[in-house]
Amino acid sequence: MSNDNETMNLLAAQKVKESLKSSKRLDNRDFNDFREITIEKGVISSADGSAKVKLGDTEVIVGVKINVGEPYPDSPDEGSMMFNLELSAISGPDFYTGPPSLESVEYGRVADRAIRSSECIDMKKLSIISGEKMYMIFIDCYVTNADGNLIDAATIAGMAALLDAKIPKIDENNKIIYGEYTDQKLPIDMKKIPVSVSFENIDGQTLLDPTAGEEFAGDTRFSVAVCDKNIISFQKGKTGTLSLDQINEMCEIAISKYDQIKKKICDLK
Amino acid sequence: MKKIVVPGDFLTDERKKLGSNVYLKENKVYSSVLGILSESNDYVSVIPLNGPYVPQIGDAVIGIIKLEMSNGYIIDINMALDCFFPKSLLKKSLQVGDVIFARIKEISDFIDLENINLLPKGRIIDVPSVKIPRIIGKNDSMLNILKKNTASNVVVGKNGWIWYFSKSPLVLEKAIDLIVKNSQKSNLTNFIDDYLKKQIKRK
Amino acid sequence: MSEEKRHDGRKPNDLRPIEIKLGVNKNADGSCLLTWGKNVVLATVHGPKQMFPKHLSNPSKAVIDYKYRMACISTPERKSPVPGKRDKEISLVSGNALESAIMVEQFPNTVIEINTLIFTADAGTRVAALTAASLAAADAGLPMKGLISSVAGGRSNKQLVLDLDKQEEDAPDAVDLACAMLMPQKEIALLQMDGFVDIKETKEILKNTVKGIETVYDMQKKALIEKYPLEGEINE
Repeated sequence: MSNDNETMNLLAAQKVKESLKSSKRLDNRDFNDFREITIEKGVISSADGSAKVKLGDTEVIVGVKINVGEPYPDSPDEGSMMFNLELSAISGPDFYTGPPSLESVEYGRVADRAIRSSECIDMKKLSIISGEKMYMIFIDCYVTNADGNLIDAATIAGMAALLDAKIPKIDENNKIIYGEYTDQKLPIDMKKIPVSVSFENIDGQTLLDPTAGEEFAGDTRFSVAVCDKNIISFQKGKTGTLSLDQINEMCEIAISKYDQIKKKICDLK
Repeated sequence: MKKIVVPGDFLTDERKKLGSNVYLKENKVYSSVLGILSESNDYVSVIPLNGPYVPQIGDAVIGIIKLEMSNGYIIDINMALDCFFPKSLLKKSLQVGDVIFARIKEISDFIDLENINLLPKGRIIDVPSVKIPRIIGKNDSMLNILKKNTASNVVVGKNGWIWYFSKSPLVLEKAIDLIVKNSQKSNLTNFIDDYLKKQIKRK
Repeated sequence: MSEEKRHDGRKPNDLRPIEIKLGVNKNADGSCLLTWGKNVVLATVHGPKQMFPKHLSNPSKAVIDYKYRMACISTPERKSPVPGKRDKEISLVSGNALESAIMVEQFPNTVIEINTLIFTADAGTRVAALTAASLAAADAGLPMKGLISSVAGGRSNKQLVLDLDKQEEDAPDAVDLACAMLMPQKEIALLQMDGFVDIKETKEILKNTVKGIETVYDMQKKALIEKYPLEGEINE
C-alpha cells in the first residue's frame, strides 16, 4: 500500500537484493544467524512483569498485567492468557497510529499461538475458585522501533516478561490489591519455553531474522515456533509462496536454534 | 474439438505466438483464465467465459453520463475507472443519464474518449464483455439476425453494454440471454435464427 | 500408524464429502456455494472496481479485500457479529494466498472484493472458505496463475488424520495445520499450524495434507469445466 516512506523502502530493498547476488547480507550475517539479542527485565514499574528486547535495531517493550476474572465456560478451572501487539507511529515511518492494522493483529496472534501451544504456563494453577474466579494474564507488546522480525522479538519479550511477573495480592473478595504482590511467580515450566524463528524468502533464498530492508525485498515470511525438538506452531505470511522442501528445511533450522535463544531467555536474573 | 481449460492448465511447450489470456513460464504456456482453448499450428490463446472489461485503444464503447462538473462530464463505461470528457470538445451539452457511443482514444490513469455520439432514447442491457464477440458474430452475422428478426436498432459496446430500441424487446433480451448462457456451444447462430423466427411468428 | 476408523467412519486420509455449486449469486461477478462435510460457505467476488477511500488503492496493482466471516448462527452458541482478531487474521492470510494466484498487476488502482460467509461451521472453515473463494474468482473470469486449493490436516487422539471435524479438533492432543497451495504449481500459499508435534510427525502431516490438496484441486477443476457443457441441448 502506498505510504510516504515508499521510495526509501524501495531503495533499501534494492540494496538488499544487490548484495544477495553475491550471497551476502548487508550486515555480513550468515543466512541462518540471529542479530544480537539483548533482554532487560523489569523495565516498567507499573506492570506486574515487563521486559525490553532489542533484536538488532528492532526494539519492543512488553508488559504483563494480571487481573481477576470469570473463567470461560469451556474451561471452568483454568486461567486465561491474551497477547496483544501494537504498532503505531512510534514504531517507525511505515506505521500509523489508529485502529489496529491487520499486520499488527497477525503478528500478535502468531506470538500468542507460540506461547499458548507450548503450554508453558500451567493454566490450571491460575484458577482461584473453579467456575467463578481465575487469573487472567494480559501481555501487551509495544513496538518502539521496527527494523524487521517483530514476531520473534515479541515472542522473546513476551516470555521474558512472563518470567519476570509476580502475582499480585488479592483481598477476601478476590479483588486485586494494586501495588501489592505475593512472592509467587507465574507457574511456568522452564522445560517448555517456546522460541519463535522467522525467515524471509527473497527470490528463493531464505534469510533468518530478516531486517526491515530484507522484509521489503522479500515477498514471503515464514515463522516457526519450536519447543525443544518439537514444532508447536507455524505461519506463512505475506503474498508469496514456498515449496514443501523449503518448509521442511526451515523447520529443521528452527530446531537447531532452540538452545541458543532459550538460554538467553532463561539465564536472565 | 473444443476444450475448456482452467487457470494454470498447461497448454503447450511449442514455440507459438501468444494470444490473450495465456502466460509463459520457463518456456511453457499456461492458461490464465477459465475459458475455451483456441490453438493452431503457430498460435495459442484462450477465449474467456466470463471476466471484467479490459479497455483497449480503439474500442467502441457505450457510456452513461454519471456526473456533470463545471468543465466536463464523468462518464461510466462499465469498468473500475471512470472517464472524464471536457465540455470544450462538445458542441451540445449533455445531461446526467444520457447514453453515448464513443471510441477509446487513450488509456492512462484516466480514459480518454473520442467521436462521442449521443444515442436516442432506448434501453440498455448489461452482459459480460467477453460475450460481446459472440453477440456480434462472424462478420456481424449474429447481430444482423438479432436486428432483422426483431426489427430492432441495436448498438453493441465492447464494454459489455448493449443499447437497443425494439418493437419486441422481451424476445430480443431473451435471445441475448441465450447467447450469453450458451456461448461455448457450436451452431448457436442457426439456433438463434430459428428461435427468433418461432417467437416472432407466435406473436 | 494404525488404520483405525474415525468416529464418522472415515479412513485417516479421507476428506469429508465436498459439493461445489458455481455462479449461484446473480449480483456477484463470480460466486461459489461450497458444502464441505457440515461446513457450508458462500463466496462471492465483486470487481475489479473503484476503491474507496482512494488513498488506499495501489497504482501498481489491484488490492485484494478478502473477508472471512462467520454468521452469528454458524456455531452452537451464537457468535458475536463483531469480527474478532481471529477473523481478521484469517482474512489477511487468505487474501494473501489468493493474491499469489490472481494477476493483480493487470488492474492497478482498483479493489477486488472477495467475501466469504460461513453459514454452518464444523472445523476447517478457513480452508473451505478459501477453496470456495478461489473458485468464485475463477468463475468471475479473473486472470489467475492457477487455482488455490486448501485442506487442513493434523492429529487427533494419537492418529494422524486429514480434514478434522470439530469433534476431532477438540481432542486433547489435537494438532491443526491449515495449508493452501497454488495449483498445479504446488507452491505453498497459506500455512498455519498450532499443536505440539515433533519434526517427523510435522513432515508426515504436511505430506498427507499435500495429497489432500491434490484431491481438492481435481474437484475444483471438474466443477469449473462442468459449468460449461460443450455438448448437449442449447438451454432456454
